[in-house]
Amino acid sequence: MIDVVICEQDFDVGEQYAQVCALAPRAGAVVFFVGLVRDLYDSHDSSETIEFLELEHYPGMTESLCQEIIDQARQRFPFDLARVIHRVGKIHASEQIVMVAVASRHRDNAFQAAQFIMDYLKTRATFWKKEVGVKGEQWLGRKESDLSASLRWENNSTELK
Amino acid sequence: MIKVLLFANLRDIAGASQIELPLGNMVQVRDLLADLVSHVPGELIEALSDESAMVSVNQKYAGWDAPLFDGDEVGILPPVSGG
Repeated sequence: MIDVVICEQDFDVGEQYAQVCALAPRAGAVVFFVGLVRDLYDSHDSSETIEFLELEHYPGMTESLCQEIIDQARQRFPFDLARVIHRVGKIHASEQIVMVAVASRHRDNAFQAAQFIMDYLKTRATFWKKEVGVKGEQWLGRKESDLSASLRWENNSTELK
Repeated sequence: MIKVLLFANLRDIAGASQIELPLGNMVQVRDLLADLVSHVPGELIEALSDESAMVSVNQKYAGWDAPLFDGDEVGILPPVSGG
């Protein structure tokens, strides 16, 4: 099973769950995080809704970075298996955009590893989002809240700053 | 030659996703960024000058003082926004 998948197609969480369970038969905990596209603009302070996101990435570098992030998470919170799926291309509001799955013996490592992977993916992995809608097109930058979410791991604390 | 890849808003501003530049006297990434000035629109330089853009050399994050060699692939990476 491949740890990192970057693709345009949507994914089936039920199917992924069955695969993860089959490949980690000794796991006692499976944590799934699924990110959905919000309908409101992030780049404008408005109640207008976006039509879709356009996602691009740096092929090759993105996969290596995601794998590195998984490896770092595994060192801190040993687990049996982790999988990241990130979609690129055109993704409409309320569609699935990202999935992080972690299977481990006990729940704590699965929860923490999933959160670690997601936090680093947001701030390190080479993806870029453009919002498209009635307010026009706007590339999104990195959010301060995402940055502080990833920094908490560097301070060796699990508390949000 | 150095292959320079531009992404997202930086690519839109430059109007190109890829620029090839001769290594010439360039020694470090910062020399390349200085050399880019003569090849791309001024707005791109503005976008780069706040140093919020990250840089990669051969698909690994690198500092502005990273050494450059002929054949390197340099990515100019705007702040990422995945997930």
